Amino acid sequence: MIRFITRRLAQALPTVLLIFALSFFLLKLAPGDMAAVMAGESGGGSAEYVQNLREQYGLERPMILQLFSYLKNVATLNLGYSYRQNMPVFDLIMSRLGPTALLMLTSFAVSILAGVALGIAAARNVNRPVDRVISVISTLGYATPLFWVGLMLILLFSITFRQLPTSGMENVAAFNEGFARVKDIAWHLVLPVVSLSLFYTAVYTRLMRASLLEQSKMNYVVTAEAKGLAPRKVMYGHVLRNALLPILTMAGVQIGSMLGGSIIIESVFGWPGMGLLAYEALFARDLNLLMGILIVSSVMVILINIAVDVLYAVVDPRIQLN
Amino acid sequence: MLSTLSLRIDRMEEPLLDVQNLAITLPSDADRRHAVSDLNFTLRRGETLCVIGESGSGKSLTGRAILQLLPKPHVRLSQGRILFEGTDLVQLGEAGMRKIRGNSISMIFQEPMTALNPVLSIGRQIDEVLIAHTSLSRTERGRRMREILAETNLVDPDRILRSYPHQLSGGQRQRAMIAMALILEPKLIIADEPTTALDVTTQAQILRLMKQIQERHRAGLLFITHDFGVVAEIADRVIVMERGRAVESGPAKEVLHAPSHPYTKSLMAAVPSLTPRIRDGQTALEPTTLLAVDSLSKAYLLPGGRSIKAVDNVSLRLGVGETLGIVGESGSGKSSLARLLLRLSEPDEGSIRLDDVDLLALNRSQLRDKRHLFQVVFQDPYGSLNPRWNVGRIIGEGLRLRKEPERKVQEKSEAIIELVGLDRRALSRFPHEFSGGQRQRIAIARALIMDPKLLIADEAVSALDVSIQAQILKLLDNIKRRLNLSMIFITHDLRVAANICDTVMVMQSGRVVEAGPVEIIFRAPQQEYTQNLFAAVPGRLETD
Repeated sequence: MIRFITRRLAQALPTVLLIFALSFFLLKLAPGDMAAVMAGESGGGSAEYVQNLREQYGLERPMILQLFSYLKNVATLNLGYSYRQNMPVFDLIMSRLGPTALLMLTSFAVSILAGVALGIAAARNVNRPVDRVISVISTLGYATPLFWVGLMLILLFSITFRQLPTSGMENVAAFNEGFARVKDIAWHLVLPVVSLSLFYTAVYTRLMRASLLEQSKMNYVVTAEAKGLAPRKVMYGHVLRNALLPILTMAGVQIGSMLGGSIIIESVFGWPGMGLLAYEALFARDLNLLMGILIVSSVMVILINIAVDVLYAVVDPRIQLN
Repeated sequence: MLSTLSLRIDRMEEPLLDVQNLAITLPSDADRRHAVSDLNFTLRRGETLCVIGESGSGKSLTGRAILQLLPKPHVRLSQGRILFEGTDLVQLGEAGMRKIRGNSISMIFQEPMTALNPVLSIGRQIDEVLIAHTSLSRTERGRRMREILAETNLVDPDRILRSYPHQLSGGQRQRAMIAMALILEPKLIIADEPTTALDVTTQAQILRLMKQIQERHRAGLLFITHDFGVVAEIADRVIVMERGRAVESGPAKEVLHAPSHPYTKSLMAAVPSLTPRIRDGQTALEPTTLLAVDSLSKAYLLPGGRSIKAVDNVSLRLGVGETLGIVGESGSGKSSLARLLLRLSEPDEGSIRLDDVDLLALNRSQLRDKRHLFQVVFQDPYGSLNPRWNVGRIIGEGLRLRKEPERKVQEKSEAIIELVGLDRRALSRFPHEFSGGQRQRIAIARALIMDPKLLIADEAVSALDVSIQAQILKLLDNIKRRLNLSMIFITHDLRVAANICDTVMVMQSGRVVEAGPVEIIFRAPQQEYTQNLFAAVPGRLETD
């Protein structure tokens, strides 16, 4: 297991470098560089002033050299400085990583649990009313855009019913501590998590239903029934574990797209995470910050994928890690 | 005095299982209304009853009906009584059936790889039976499991219990399956083709084991099979089923030696004999060599750095118009050899000369020009044809790739489809509209349209019913003669090899054990391995 993880980490290194290089060049392609932005921020400056800034920050050097010095800095966890936010990029990202991780992991868990549960309910009642209702709901969840769901939920639960907070991660003014703070954050989490996980829940529900139906046709199910096991035991002891394998595969792939989805959700709900930060950085042309966020996100996605592979081997003994 | 004695015997011999007027209904879109109709039979304690029939005869559904495990919701038991020790299982209800399943009636299935759950250990899967039906403690259950595994002759029971299905061989898996079925000493064992997926030597061992255990526990055994050889080995009584009806039944000896129903007779006649048939028109002249293979070797790397020699220093000669049979058990390297001959994988060493062309020296485009000379027919007629293409497209693909004019492709496709015994209208239909035997005809047509000189048939009749198998073997033999084709026939079935081959090569772990004319190898095998292989063939009749 340890050997597998170290090998996968080593294999991930070229991937990460490639992502760095690609996003670096991509951002350099965008019109207007950092010097132009800084000049603009300080209320405009002469062409010489901008030129000076360029030389000062080494923006005149060949791109490839700029990339190398950037990579050298990244290797020492120095992601540069955000002139817009007046903070080192690394510190800035670290302060936002927690909220994003909280939002993403909660949504991830909710969508898998809800998807699996709904999938089971649909498969056990196949072609009966329960199955049809679940199917309609999941199609809706599938087809509705994330931001629209977010806005509608705010409208309904925060504005009309005045039950749930509209934005933010906690009520800072209340100075909650200990359990009260946990409760406050959980309360703030409800709407963003529901909006973000709705789509994924729909995907997993459909996948789980199909996978369960496929597995229930397998020969080992008849064997289990022939042993005299009750239907519940057959379902939870035999079919479920086999049916979960495709869900796990799908989840590993989708964790990246969920990170993308969290940008939208964070902007809608004013959630103080990396997504919101990326959104701000984009509009402020804070390229250092944007690069930093890209790097941290890609590393996160790669790490989670390795974790999913390990989990896969735990669930399916036929997969050998080495 | 005499009458009271016979009365007492009658009472003692009250049937364990008594099936009366059984009818099983199929869904409305099936090709017939009843999978099984008007079926009656009894089974006594300690008795083995074989239900024999071809695919679609309803034999497997009969087995599942006894346990009330028919595929839900479309296949239903629509009529009849199934009395087990006097209780009607049809009326018993789910809860009552659950107490019986795995406990007093248990079932052994055909394919132990798919019949076992791939993600649970063998120990856990056997343990479930004990947990469901007994209140034994954990240590007690462990002891029982090790005992029963030892009884099925599995060495190192502790390792087996920890293993997952994929870590065991086919024979070990089936022994574990049998252990699972027998652990509570059921009174009735239903075995649905339990040895069909196994090699002959393993099959012989498993049959012996089942017989022993059944006699020891005096259980009734309902044995479902398609193989008359197996019936001869194991049955006390036989029921022959055709399209859901019992056409003949009686003591095994009588049915096997003097079948009365024409269907039984035709089925038995279709079983190829182990005695090589005498070939007419055989010339003493040595035919010109078409294929010359010298010292061919191929090793595969196993996970963990070890390597296995799949094909080890194999040489062979095949003359024009000759058929060479390659026989051996699974893992003997037969199919690896076929892949090398087809140049689907590259050998490590050796040479292959076809029609005096060194195949291994050809580059990719040269090889493409020569590919039509050697064609292949695979085992699985379901997996080897593209389900989304119509037959015309499947058969014509090879010619179209060679940019033959469309009219010629059409003409040739029509000629070839009639050659393999199908109507030309078949060209516009799709593979799923055909039966297994018809699909194998399509696969043969697809190979023949390329005008090959060599046809490699890799277990091409193994997935077919005996009567269909006999037809396909006859077809291949006819075509071979008409086109003066050379054939390599890979099979695990010695009866099939005896039926169609001129020469035979016996393989074991990648090596050639012995090779020679079929009459000589089959009459007087020299090597111990070959002798064991022959001894394991089930149901060798005097005529063999």
